[in-house]
Amino acid sequence: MIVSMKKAKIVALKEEKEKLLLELQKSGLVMLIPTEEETILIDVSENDDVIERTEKSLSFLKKYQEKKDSFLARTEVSYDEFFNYDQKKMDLLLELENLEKEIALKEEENKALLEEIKLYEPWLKLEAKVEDLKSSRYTDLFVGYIGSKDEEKFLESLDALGSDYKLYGLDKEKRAIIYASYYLDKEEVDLLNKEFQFSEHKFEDNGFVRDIVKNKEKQIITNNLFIDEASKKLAKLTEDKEKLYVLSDQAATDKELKLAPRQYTLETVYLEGWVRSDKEDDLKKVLETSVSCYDLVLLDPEEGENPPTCNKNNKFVSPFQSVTNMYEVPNYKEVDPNPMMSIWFWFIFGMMMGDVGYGVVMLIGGILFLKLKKPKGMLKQIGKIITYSSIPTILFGVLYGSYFGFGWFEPVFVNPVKEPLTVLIFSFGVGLLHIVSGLVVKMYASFKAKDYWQAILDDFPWIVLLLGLGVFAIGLKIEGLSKIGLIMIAASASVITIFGGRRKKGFIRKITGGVTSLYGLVNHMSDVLSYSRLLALGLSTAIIAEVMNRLAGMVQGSIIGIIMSVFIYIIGHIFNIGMGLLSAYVHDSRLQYIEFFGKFYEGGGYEFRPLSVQLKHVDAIKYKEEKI
Amino acid sequence: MTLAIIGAALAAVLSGIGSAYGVLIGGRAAAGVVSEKPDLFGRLLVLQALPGTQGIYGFIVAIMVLVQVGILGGTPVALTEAQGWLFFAACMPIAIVGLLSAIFQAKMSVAAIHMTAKQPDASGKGMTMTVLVETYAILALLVSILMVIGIPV
Repeated sequence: MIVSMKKAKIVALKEEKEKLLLELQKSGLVMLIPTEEETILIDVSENDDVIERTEKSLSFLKKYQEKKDSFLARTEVSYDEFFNYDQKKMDLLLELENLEKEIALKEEENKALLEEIKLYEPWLKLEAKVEDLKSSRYTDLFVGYIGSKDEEKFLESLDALGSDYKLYGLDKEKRAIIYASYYLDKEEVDLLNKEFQFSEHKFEDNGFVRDIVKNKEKQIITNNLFIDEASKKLAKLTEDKEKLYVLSDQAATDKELKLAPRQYTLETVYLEGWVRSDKEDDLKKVLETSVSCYDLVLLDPEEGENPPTCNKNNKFVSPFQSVTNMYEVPNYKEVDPNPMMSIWFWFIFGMMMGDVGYGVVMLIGGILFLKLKKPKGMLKQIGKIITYSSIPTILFGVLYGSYFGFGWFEPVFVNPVKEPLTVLIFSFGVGLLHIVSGLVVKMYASFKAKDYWQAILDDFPWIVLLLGLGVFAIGLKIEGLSKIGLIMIAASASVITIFGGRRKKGFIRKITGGVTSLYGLVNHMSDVLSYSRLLALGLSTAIIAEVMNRLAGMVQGSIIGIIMSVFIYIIGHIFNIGMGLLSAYVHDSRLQYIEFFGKFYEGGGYEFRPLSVQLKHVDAIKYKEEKI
Repeated sequence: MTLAIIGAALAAVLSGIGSAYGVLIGGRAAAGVVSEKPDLFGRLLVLQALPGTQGIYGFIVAIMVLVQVGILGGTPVALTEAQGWLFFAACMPIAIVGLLSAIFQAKMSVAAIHMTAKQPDASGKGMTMTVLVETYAILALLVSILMVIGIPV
């Protein structure tokens, strides 16, 4: 059901505003709303900065973590740690950022050094200090590269000039060369250099080439040592990453608090927001313990106001709320669709999976996931949905006689692979009832809105008509029922035709309106046909399971074959369960959204999101007894 | 016999091609989004996987044909040419619709992925829109299955 809301107006002393807001945030009771007057722009860049930096450092830190986080890892922090600001965490962040920066710097340096070494490599055999390579009075000295395919011709020309040369190593396609020529040959030499595209080389450092290279290599080694050291430090710091989790969530919580809408007078602070009507007393308690004096007014929502929607349902229904909310949040005034929807979602999910073995896997897997990992948010809801839905899955497995795709026991109802038509008709039956239940919810909503004519003349006849069709269909098999079905169809159809156009103006429009509203039957029928997917998806799960068993059966024959077959069983069935769960979830949701919700659902609400502690990384805060 | 096998092969091949292409373009769009918003990976993976089901449907029909004609687990049945054509025809709905609907669904899924990138909370809506396309592949699968099961051997 949708919880009724009250509007809370709180006035307290301005000097106590921090304490008040913090306590409200901890309790998570009030959804503060901005009041009409201008709101002050609040600077939260500091918080954003901390959040961004911690996220960046966390993702950087991941690379240095030696052991991967187990899937079941959980972060719980004590109350004191979360709510007391601690400079050490900020210091940790700074230390991490410095290490990150230094490592990046050293890595950059190594890269540059490696490039430089590459430039020296062809000259390794040079037996002179590089600064001594100079032209003298009578000789010009040339140091550089010549394309290796021109090498021979170039050397021949040098010989012809009578120059002396020495060859060194290769750099890719180029030969390192040093040669000396008589100073009067300068013109010829210049021409030669131009013709063969001789490129001059200048050394950046001084000394012997081998010493230069050695020094640079040494530098790289020291840099690497430094990086190793820093990496070790980082690996050790990964143990403290919980602190970063806390820091990030603290910043997010603080940001939420700063952004909470509020107004001030000279001496007081004024807050306005929605509170659940069943939590009024809790709010009073929080106010009493947190501030010395306050004024609280609680009002029922006025006409035209749009309170947030908060669903309160039992343990079974509540996880299915996430399915509805993914579509649209129900609006505050309508009937909560979740109780009815949850039962259908649960049932149809089982029908699509339909295997005892898979049901057991879902049940055990789901419970282990929920107990050990204790997930939050959407994952938690999906985990619960899968766990609950394992029960109809097992049930339909028994009905269909499917046990991990094997037919260990005779089907209680029917084998869908052998008699798909029976299951198809059964699916249509389920669809018809699903749609009828949607119309029942609509009728209930009409009654609740005191629109009795709508309920009796529009909603009810449709229910009778669709049920009549069902009864008539059963009547084809069982004597006598078909007549009852026909009577139901005829009676309801005439009511729909007569009254369908009652809201239209003018006699002719009233009549045509009635006939066209009967046309809605086509929509309902095409909705029913859509439930053929119950058979199709059930069949595909069953057939793939059978194929996997068949494949595994083929290789059995030797000991190796049996081991292989175990692998095929495990991988094949896990794949099938995974795909089956995905399509069951997706198609089940679709049936709810389009076929079921289409009958009555309005939506367009927004969720009740009270001012509360923001936990993204931290899984839980351990409260002391003072928890309210 | 040859005709039945060709039919089964087409069912698996065409819908497989459709799905492979569909998952590819879905994945390409999703990868672009994940590079900027890694948190959305889970939601986007679901959207990417949606056009993948057609390939499985084609695979199911192919296997069912193979079982019916006795190639898988049994002695091969000597089919007449008429029966061969029947099997061939029975494979066509999922082969053709599987191929095309996977590609169309993938285009929808890309749109839904872009929507999710801008509004992560709308992924459920995007998923529903994408699943609507698949309805027709499911209907084709159903027709193919009913035909394959119904052919007298």
